[in-house]
Amino acid sequence: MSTDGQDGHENELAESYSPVAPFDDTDTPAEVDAVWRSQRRIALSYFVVFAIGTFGVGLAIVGLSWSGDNTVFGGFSPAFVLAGGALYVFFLILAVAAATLANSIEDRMMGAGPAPFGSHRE
Amino acid sequence: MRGQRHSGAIVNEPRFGILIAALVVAFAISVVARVRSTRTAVDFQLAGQRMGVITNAFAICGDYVSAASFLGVAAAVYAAGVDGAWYATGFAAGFIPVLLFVATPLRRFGDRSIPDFLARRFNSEKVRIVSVVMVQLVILAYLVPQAVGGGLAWELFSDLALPGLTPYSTGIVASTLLTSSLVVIGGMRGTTWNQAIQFLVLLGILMWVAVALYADGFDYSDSVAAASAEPLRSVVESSTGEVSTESTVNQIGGGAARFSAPGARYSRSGQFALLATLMFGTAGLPHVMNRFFTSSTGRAARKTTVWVIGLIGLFYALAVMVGTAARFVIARDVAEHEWLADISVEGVLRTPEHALLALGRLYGGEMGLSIVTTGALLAIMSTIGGLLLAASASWGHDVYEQHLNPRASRTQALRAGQLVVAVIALAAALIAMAVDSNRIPASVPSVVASLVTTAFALAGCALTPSIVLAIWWKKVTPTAIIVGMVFGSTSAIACISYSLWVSASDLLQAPTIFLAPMVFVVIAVVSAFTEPAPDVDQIWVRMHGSANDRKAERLARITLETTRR
Repeated sequence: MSTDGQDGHENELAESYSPVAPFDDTDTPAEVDAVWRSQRRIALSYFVVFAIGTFGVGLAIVGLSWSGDNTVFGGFSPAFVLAGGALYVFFLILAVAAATLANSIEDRMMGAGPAPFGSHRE
Repeated sequence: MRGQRHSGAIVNEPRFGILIAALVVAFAISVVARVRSTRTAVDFQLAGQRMGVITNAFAICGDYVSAASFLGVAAAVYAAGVDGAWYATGFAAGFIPVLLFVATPLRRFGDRSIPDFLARRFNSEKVRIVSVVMVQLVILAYLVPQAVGGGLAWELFSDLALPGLTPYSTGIVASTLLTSSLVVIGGMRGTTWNQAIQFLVLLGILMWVAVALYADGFDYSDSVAAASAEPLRSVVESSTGEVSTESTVNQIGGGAARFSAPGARYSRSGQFALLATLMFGTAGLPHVMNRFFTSSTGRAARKTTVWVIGLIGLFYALAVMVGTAARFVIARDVAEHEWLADISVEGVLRTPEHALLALGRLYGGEMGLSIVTTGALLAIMSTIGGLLLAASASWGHDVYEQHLNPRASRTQALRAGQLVVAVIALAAALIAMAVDSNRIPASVPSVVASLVTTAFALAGCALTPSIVLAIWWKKVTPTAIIVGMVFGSTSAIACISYSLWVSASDLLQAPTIFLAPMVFVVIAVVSAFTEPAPDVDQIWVRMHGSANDRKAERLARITLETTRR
């Protein structure tokens, strides 16, 4: 379903109440292209960290016998600590960092922020 | 055989009160949602695209956490130690690729369903039709094990059966009928609220068990040490039907497996194959991805995913702890409880899925057992609800509204979606009933979890590569996407079928680790020789731009300020 009609109505409504007019309600292809490239770089970088972290832990668990034979933090084996809890914390930290960075890039490069070098707004 | 395994049913006195109370609440929520709905197809399938971040995050968790997670993860840890915990890690890891590559652009560009997203991205009705087929394959692969789980959970809950049906078939009929009624009445809005509350209930049950364990003097690290002090044992059944326990063989280094070391269930390659299948399958699950269309903005979808990663991590960490506790507590307490001796052999549970149920009964008596069993049924219903809505969106919108009746009125479109829910629920129930529960071998540790892994493999090979490339690569072509989806699905089905019926193999059972990269390559090669979709720059502006988000956020602020004045 297209939401163009709805968007148009929302746009008019928003501008009629706007304390600061006019709003920057459009993204130019140049702006979006720059943001997309930045977001793609971030996504790939974080994915590499995620893959190395997760599969690296997997490799350590299945490849190194000490991960199952030794104990840390009382009776836990390193393998159990990693698979049973530490990786969830790693995922959450990674997610918060990636989302924060992605949001800040959008804020800086699109909308109210200054236009990126080499692009122009219509 | 299943019947023999079930002979030690641990629900002696069914407490229907808790189940009926849970169902009354669920139907009340659906009725309220119906009253507040605008009664359009968009409202029915996507809750008007106005779901809050936290509500939607809880609902996604409710959608995602099926019986395979609620009972299956604790069971897997109980039976296989670290290898079972690894299973939970794969489920939780799946949302990281969703956050990085899919959630925000999918919401910004998509409107109704995965097929709708792909069709509009490539301006191709052929892409729409092929992706509808893929989505239905994944939904069916996920729906049938949930219905089977409903039958198995009912067998545990009660011996009651509808006339002419076994308790197993009664469970299937009841879970699919009740859930499809809830979905038809409440649509996406009611289902979202129900799923959010159902996840809270499941999380609450795990927390209650954890608190009860600690109040009883449980020490997590001591339990791991105690469980690891001797070889891991499992129940085996001889050809004459006698049951005993024997040491589990380590699949990695040989010898006896231990609780805190890998190898109790999977080989080296099997560990990574499973992890990759669960990690990459999530981004292709239609019922989970459809939930992102209900977010108000792309940025809200991103924030929702972060919440999901936190909540789902908490859930699985608790499930792993409970599975560990069961290994220690059941062996310790078996001499004091006759019912526990009935369902175990030499202190080891005959059926690992009973681990959470047994702890519920140990710490909450019959009431505790009934609460956990009701939780398992709710988990199944919650996932079935999400799957039915995803089927409704793809058939109702992508087939009926786009092809069969393009001039459909709002009421006709709504009715078509509701009819699809009923038909798909009926089909899943019939297929699940054809699975004879007595023929499910006791050696299968978690039937539902194993079948669900197949759905993850299909989604990860057929849909995830297409969705990711459609979002991030401008030069991908509609022809390449069609070829990629067909290649991914047929090769995944071939691998899994070969593994099931010809020669068992860890890698072929979970083939995403080598098939998904092949699908990426196939799509890239075909794209090099075919024409890309037109107007890619305009599509990119909508998919990766944030103008609509800014407008929606500003409108929300203005509405809030106007209300305050």
